[in-house]
Amino acid sequence: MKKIFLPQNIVRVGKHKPYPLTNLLAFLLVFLLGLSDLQAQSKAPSGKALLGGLRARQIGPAAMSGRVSSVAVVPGQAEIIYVGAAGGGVWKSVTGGTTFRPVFDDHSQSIGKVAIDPSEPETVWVGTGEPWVRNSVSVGTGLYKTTNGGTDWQLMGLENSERISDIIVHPTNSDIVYVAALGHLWDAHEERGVFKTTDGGKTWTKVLYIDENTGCADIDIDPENPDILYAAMWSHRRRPWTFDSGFNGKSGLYKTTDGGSNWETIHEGLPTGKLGRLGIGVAPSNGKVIYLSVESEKQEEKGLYRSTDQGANWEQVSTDFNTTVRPFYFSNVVVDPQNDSIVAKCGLAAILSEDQGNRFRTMGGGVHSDIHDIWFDPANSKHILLATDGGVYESFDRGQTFRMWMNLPISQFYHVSVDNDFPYNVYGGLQDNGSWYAPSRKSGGINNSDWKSSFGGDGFYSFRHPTQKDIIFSEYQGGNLARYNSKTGQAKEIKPYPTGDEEKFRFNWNAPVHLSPTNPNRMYFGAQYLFVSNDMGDSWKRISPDLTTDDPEKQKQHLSGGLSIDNSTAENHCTIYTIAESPKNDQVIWAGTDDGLLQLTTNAGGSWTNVTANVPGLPANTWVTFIEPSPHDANAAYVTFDGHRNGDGKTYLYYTADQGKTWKSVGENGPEGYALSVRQDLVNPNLVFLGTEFGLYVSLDGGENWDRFENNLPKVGVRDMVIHSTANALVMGTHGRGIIIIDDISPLRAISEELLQEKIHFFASAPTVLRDPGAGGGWFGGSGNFVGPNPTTNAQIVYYMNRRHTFGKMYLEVWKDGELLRTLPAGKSAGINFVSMPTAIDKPKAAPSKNRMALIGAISGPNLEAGKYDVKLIKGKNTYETSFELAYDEESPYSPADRKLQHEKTMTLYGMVEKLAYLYHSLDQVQGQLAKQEDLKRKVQAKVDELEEAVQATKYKISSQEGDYYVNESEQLHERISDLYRQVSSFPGKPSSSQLQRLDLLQGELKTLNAEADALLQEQLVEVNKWLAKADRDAITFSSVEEFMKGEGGSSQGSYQQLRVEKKELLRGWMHTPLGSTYFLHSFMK
Amino acid sequence: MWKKLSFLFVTLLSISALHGQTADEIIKSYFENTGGYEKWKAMTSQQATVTTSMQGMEFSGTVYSKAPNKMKIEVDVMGTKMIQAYDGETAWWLFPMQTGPDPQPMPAEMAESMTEQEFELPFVDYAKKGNTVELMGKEEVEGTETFKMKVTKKNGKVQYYFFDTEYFVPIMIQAPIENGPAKGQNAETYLSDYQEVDGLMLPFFTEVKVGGQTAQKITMKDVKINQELDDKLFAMPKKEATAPASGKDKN
Repeated sequence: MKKIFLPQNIVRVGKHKPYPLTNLLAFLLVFLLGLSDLQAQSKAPSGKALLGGLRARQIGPAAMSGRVSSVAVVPGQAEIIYVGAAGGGVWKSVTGGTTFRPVFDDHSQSIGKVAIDPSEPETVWVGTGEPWVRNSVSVGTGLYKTTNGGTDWQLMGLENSERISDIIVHPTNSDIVYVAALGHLWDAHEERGVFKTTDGGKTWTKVLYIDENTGCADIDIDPENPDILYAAMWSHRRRPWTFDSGFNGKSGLYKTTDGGSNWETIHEGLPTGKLGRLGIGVAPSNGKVIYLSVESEKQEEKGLYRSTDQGANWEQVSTDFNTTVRPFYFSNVVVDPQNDSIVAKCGLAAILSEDQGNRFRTMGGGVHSDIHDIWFDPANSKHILLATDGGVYESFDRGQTFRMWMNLPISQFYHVSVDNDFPYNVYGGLQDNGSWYAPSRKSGGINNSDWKSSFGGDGFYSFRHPTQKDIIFSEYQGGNLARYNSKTGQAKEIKPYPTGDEEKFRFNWNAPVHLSPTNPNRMYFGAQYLFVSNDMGDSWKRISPDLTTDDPEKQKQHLSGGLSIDNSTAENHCTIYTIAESPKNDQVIWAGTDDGLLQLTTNAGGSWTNVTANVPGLPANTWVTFIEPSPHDANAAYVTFDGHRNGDGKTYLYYTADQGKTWKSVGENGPEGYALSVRQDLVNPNLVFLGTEFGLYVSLDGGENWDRFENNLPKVGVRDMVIHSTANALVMGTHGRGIIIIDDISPLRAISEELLQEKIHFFASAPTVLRDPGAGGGWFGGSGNFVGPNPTTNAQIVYYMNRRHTFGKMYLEVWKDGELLRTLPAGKSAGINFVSMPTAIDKPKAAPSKNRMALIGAISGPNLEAGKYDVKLIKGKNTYETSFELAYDEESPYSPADRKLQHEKTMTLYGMVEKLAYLYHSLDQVQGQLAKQEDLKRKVQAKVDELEEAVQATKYKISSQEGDYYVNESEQLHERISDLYRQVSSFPGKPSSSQLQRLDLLQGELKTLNAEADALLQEQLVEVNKWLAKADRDAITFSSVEEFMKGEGGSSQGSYQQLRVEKKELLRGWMHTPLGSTYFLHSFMK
Repeated sequence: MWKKLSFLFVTLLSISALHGQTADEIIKSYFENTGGYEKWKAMTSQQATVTTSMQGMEFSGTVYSKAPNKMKIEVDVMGTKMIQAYDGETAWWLFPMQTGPDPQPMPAEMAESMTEQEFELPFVDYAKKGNTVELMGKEEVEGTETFKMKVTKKNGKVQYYFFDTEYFVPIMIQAPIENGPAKGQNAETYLSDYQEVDGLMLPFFTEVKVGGQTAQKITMKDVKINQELDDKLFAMPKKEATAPASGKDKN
């Protein structure tokens, strides 16, 4: 037995000292200097480590995708694409769009501009903060740069710019970069204008600045002279109730001819008076030609302008609707890189002119409305990309037709809900993309086609009726509520109307609908008044006075927009924004308004109390974003407030335990970003989830301390979330990354101070329902479609460790009725570890075969039976024990008797496969030894040769040793048994009569073959061995069954039996992975 | 007296390094703690039985490697051997579903990453090899404080090693995936179950995660070092003559 180093053999001397302790003096010094570090070692794992073991699941969808603000493609390498999403980060494709992956998850997900360095395409700049400043727009956190194609990103400054609209990298000098900072949308701020670096971003100079209200909306560069640049300065301001494009009249078009040192306005021929948002398009093929989209005071002067003398003079060339519509959203103008007469403009639709902007046609049919960016392939300008409110579209015919990229799950949910089906479904409404629902789990994964629409417009709240299974409530902007019947596909609009003496109802853009947690037939709806309905919305009863400030100055939606009226209900104000009935007392109802009032009734609307003044440290008029009445206590609630629309990005989370009389601020220690949603756990009141603009935060102590949940959960706005009561899942609606689910939060519920001190702690888990194998599912769709992953079907063994395991063995054993089923690698992390236990046993040991189906056929082991399984965790010298349970799906159509028969026959076939494997192995061993016997006496040699031939002949009857694994292959008994094993084991119900009949036949064949082998191995071999003994040679031997079964020959497998095609693909994928490079050598050599 | 004082001085010096570790000190401690630089330097070959699991499926096999860059992975699926190997000149593989029954040279992209492997740790004589190391600071990995060390290979490729600040062994290696649709995405290889083999501490368990999700787990057994491994073991076998299949009735 070799001596194994145990941890104490490793020199461990405090946190920092690398050298062995040599004497007492050193020890004392170390002790004195390192005391705090030594103490720190007994600390429980950090929150990051605790949460790190749980992994979020992003299920998309990409069916409708989401708003994209910027697209960038490497010049000359059209297959390398960066997509900047309005709220979903940066996605990269190296395959021309067939596959994408997110590369920017650790940073703000709101993207303003992605720019590729033309002389160094692995260098990419990302300006965060979307510049298409609609009411729901997110915020950025500055400027980032990668020098290795997106693997690593560095913050390069402008942290307080909030929005970056454009970035120009010098065509030949990577160190020179110009950045257009649009700046703060909701307040005055000086970090805006044009910034320039000449040292690759280390230092910045603000080279063009107008004032704290005027940012740079667009810059462009002359293609021939990189010292000539143009900048569109835009004065604008949003308030919660209004938008003003043009604002203080300082907008203008500027030009520099000396790389930004001096700027002058170039307005000759442009409208006089106030200007709004301008968009610049310099022709890349001819710097003299510039197109400019212009927002101005007079409608007839708005539109597209053109200059042919580098901006010295301008001439209006078009007033086409899409050249004037919503400049704050659509001002972008792009010129064909090969032809200065071809110009495209973003708009409600993208438009394209091939005659210098005089006549326009609409690009594409079936393309999502609201276009924000257009890319022309410089190598072939008929190849065009459109960035829209509904993802990216690609054309190869200069915009006649487009194909949508169905693999960008950047959907922007406003709200999310779940139902009680098994598996449960997820519902929600999205920015400009209606309302949708889909299952949380689907055989083969959650495909785009699994998402069903339940209404159009901009979607917000969407719920399945708790008991009326066909009814889904969905809405569109400004309080238009509908009752959709998923069976008939019909929708009935059910919003309330004022009676004659009532004031007009004011609904928020995102008007709150709330299903009662205590009564499935009761629902609430909020305008400035609160309504309740008990008949699925056919009639409404008003149960409150105006709960808002009712400030007339904030009720001028129809005047909103500044130079271009933008009356879309987006600025409806003084409205109720959130409603919540206490799950513990249906008399207690909370309502929060967008103008910052928090209201409470304790008699179901009989009377209301404004409790806003009781909230300490909360600025006036701070939007109430979410109310979570405690699921444990009718007097308690968590409430989030959001001041970002007043220029206040702090995280406001408060807790009351006395119905709002007193409040405690609890969002201070950890969270970043303005607060959007909060949930208290249904089981453990100390477990609280907070959604902010920058992701999900978790507190294990009621809100005192928070850690961000980072594992597969980007810094995306978590607008809404819900805890599924039976699935123990946290389901989040994010504004840019679709639905994100943490499938099992139960370990977090069990965390306590005491538990954190334990070395190992196993978490109890509900029985795992065995998933029967699904046929169907995926087919050969190629790449290009997003598929949301399913939750695991494996049993989970979950434990906590207070320290990481680094030295010595650590693994798990799973036992059933005293028999070892399998060993599993253990999780080694400090914190929570999930070990996945496949619910199938090892695949059978099998004879070698050159038959493809036989190879695939026996690649899976049979399913485990329902019941209790024991687990031993071996860690060094210690063993820790726990157990888990497997259960059959009660909804499945297979009777216990059928399942029993299936299992029995599967195991019979399993045994047959292994029996043959053993026979083959034995014969092979014997044949090998026989073949080596040479130079014997002729008679003896003849007997040996004869036996060798006979052994080979029998061996070849066992399995196919010839062929190409495809169409030129043969089959023997092993192949026949394997194939039947595959068939019977992959269907959870009763095997067919034909299969059973076939089994009988094969059993007979096996018996015959077994007898034949026995005759060789037991009789003839004994005879030959006698002769060999006489010739003074060693006897020929073969392994016992026991030795064979212990051997590594058959190897093992796990996982539930999915389609064999998937297994094959997995195997193929695995073999195609150069293990040597990426993975293997790390372990083996290092 | 002078001797004593100088000892104290040396001790103090080493302690002053406590709060300002250098990359060289970490590497030195790593070698000391895992068997010593000389032993690492002297290693010529490794061989191990491995079990690798991906998405719940497990395969067993054997891995051989030999200085300076030869390697071979043999995996047994249902008694059928599948092989990836590099003999210092040719990268080849045997994967019957793809290659047919005979070994074939590897596709270029796979081959590239096989051929770039080096047997020796990048830290052994790193400067002589043209590698550079840089300490980037501390970072928490799996709840453990680590030193983050950037290793830039002579060919410009970058890996990050995360050394446990108590034991000075790497517990994680981060490097970008080099090929395919995920090119550029970081893969993290977590190392644990360090055990001794002939005086060297080697990690017997590795888990590879991509984007936080486990891609592969590898458990090693029966690790042997410095065995005589014949060069022929790594070479692509010459094509054997195979008999045509008999095309027998398949039912």
